[in-house]
Amino acid sequence: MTNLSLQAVKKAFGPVEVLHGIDLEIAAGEFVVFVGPSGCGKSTMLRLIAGLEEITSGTLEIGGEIANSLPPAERGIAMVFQSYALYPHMTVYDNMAFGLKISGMAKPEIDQRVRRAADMLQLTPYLDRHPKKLSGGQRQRVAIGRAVTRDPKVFLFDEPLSNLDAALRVATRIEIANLKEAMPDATMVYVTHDQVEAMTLADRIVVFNDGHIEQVGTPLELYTQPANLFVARFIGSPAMNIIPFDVLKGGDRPALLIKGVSETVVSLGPDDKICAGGTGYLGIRPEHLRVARDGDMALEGAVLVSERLGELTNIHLDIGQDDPLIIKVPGMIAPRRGEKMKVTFDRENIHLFEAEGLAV
Amino acid sequence: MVERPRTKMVRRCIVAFGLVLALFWSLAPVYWVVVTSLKTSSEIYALPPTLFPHHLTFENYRVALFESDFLRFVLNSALVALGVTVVSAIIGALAAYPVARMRFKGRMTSARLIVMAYLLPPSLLFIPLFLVLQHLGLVDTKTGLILAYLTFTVPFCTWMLIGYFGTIPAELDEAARIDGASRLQTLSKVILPIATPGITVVGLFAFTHAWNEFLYALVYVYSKDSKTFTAGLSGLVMGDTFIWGQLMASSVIAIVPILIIYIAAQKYIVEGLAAGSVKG
Repeated sequence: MTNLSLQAVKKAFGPVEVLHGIDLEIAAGEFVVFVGPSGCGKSTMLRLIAGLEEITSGTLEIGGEIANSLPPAERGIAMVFQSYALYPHMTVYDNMAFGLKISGMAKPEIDQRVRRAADMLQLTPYLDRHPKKLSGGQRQRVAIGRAVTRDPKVFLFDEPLSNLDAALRVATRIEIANLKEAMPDATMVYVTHDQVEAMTLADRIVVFNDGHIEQVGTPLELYTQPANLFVARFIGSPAMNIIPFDVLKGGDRPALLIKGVSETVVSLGPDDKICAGGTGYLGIRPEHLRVARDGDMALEGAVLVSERLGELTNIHLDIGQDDPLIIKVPGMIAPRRGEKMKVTFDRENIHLFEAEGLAV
Repeated sequence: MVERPRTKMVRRCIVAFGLVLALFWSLAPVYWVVVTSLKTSSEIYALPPTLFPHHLTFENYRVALFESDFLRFVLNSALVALGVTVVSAIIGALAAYPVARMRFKGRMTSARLIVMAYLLPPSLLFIPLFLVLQHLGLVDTKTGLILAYLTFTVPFCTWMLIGYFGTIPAELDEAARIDGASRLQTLSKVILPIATPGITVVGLFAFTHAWNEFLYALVYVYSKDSKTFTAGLSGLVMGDTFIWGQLMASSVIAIVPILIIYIAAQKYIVEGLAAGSVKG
């Protein structure tokens, strides 16, 4: 059981700082997923944990031991790369046994470990083949197998499914979930830009942006309580609708007013923190919007696009803001382009953010 | 790409014509060497010259192989060329790997210096190099000749291998490091096996260069024990007398090994072993 601890970890490449002081605790046996847009530093963070890059400042502890200057092989980690990184001149067996041979392990023990891992990943029939004779999914399984044979304390996955097609991605994702089930003690850190992978695999998700952490939490926490606008927009597909608003202080109760909508959208309590700022953002997930009935408070707009996905339809509505409002409705209804629509939502489903972007 | 049949035919004709011309251009001298080696002395000097030997004779070959020192010169050439090849490939790989893969100060400067060393013309180097060999007591030795050739082949091989190693995905090095391999183990067990086609090409270059080299061979060695065949061939030109038949027969004998090596190594040059290591 090995935990990971990062304290004020910074990484700079020459004058460019790409990680600005990361603090993060990963419990032993936890499956943590790093997500974020391209260039946010999530892969660099993984490479720092792996020992493939040197930490510029700060402390990395693996299992309570400072690991800043430990070589990769002594960190008790194994890594699965996006490009598989299999040794092309070696058979599947040799690929999986390479690290064990280097460590000077006895042959029978190597054989036992390789066969056990191959069995677990259904690779036994392919042990004598070379990587170029395998499909993408099989190659990635070999790469995972190579990690498994080393019996690491910490597994590091760097976008392992990105090179696979959609069907294989689902299958391999399930295999990784099964792997975690089979090795409950192993700590796993997984980098991806795919939200579905993050939501389905993670015990906790770490959202990176521009070299710092935006939020850490369970998948549902991030979904239901985003800490700021960035997380709100990043988690969920289609993304949360973000609408700027002003606070109307006149009258008996302060109210939240959206530009272009004449009626009060939400009544606020006199003590609501948002009142002080005067402006802010309202967030509402597409699935929490519905077609308004007569008498409902409503946002009105013209239909821009209807995306019919079978079980549901995403309707893009122009309500006079910069971004269209997206509504997710069940079934295959498809209003025509230009058709007027009124939509509404419930008070308990909205998220309010200050003008600076922090959740209220 | 789709083409009209007529365009296709015209294109094929032009390509065929170009190929025949190029083949004629490069093979005609070789043909003349081979034909001359099979002619008698009187036929060689006959006017007009004959395209095919009227009296086929292997006498020139018999003399070159059994009544002269030529075979010994060929053996010397082979030893020197093999030495140069092995040392160039080893030093080249060891020097190219850090430049291609590691981050250190002066990396680019070293790469540029390597090219500069390769670009220095041999005609400029051969006198200072002679003095160096003289001080080392290596004039007129095969070792001396190998050292002299290395000044040219090592920078070239290093430069070529820097480029070749650059095409091998860096993730393979990283995977090996995580597997616990040292830099030297990564090079020997992962990178070099994948780089076989590249190593073969630079090895071939080093071998061909050392095999064909004439200037240093003529200047640095003169005894029968060390002389290579290129310098040996010049021994068949005495003043204004050319022993054409023997000269040509010896040349044919000297072409054969390099021809065999090239044919044998062809598949390595073409083969892309890196296929399948990463996405593809």
